[in-house]
Amino acid sequence: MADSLPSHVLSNGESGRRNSNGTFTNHQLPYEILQEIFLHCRTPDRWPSRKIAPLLLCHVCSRWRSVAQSTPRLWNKLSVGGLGSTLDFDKALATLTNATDLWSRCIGKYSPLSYTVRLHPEAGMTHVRTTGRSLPLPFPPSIRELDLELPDDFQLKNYDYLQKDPLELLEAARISMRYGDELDVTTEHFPFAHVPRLRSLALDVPWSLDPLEPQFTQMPWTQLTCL
Amino acid sequence: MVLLVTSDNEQFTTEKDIVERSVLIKNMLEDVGESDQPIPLPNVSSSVLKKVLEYCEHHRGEPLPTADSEQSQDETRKRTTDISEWDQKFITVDQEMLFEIILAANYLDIKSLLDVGCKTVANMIKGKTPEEIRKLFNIVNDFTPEEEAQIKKENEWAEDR
Repeated sequence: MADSLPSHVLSNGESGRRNSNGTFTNHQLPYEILQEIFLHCRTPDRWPSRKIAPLLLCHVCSRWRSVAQSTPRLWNKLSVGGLGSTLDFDKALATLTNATDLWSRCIGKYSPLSYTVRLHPEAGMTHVRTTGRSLPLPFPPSIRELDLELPDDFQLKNYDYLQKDPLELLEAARISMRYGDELDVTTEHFPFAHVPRLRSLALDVPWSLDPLEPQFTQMPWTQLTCL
Repeated sequence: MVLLVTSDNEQFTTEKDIVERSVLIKNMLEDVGESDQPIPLPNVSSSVLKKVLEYCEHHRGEPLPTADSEQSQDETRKRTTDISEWDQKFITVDQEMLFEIILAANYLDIKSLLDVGCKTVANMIKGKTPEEIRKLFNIVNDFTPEEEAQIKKENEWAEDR
């Protein structure tokens, strides 16, 4: 493939060919083809990195930024944290918060999102315990898959807004909070009553409570096909 | 046999099962029925059509992708930028021809060729910095000051991996 510059098809027009009227010739790739190219730039794990799509594409020019940010399928997966990460916990949390904000704006209302957060001491994070940390969620009605690995000082509480914007598309959830007696917190506060499509649920939390306790009554036992 | 006329008035005679890889031409042939009338292709030049027909001839007889298979491919995230050896050799052209092929594939509705072209461009993008991409495709950095500020912020929190 020649890396020379004979063409301006992908360009934003600033240096494109002009016709006699001074307007640009129809020599730019149409919007939908640029979208198609961008979708092929996706990597299996969508980390919020400036070196890979979608962020990389947003940093090239205004047109690319606009096309990328209005292509929901480019933003349908967000993964933060994980094994081998050398980030410290608070930096990872800042990345998570900012990425969640950006992904929420770009995913679109009805595009399914896969959301993976692995902020776990075992995942190589330098972890200073604090209380009252709350997990940011991207636009909740978009989330189809949720995979959370969290330290126990993270709270799955204060999600009142989920009553207004319920997790309507959520089909599969895995929640792991191994360092504490958190099953009651998880089951009591996570809005399981508002997940009509949830079929697969994995809870990796200390199980020291009686499953017949009242906090389990809102669990969607009957709709699950995999527990 | 089917007669095609390009934008620069060159005529190409080709076999029906080759040219029917183009959904546009297939539909046109179905609409007009048996006819000796040439099919005008005002958006495709002779040099590009020659390449397109070379692709169609090589892939003649292969099943055409359906909308369902495309959707399931995307949903199962099997979308890759792998390109077969023959296709890779075929698409090793200069940038201008590459984009002309993509535009022609889009116009003629040849999904598999459009995919090969788009994957090739995606492969050219991957692994490069924004500046390298601008240089490669002759793109001017035209961000507004507001966009520059947003990008600066994104560079601060986005992981460098």
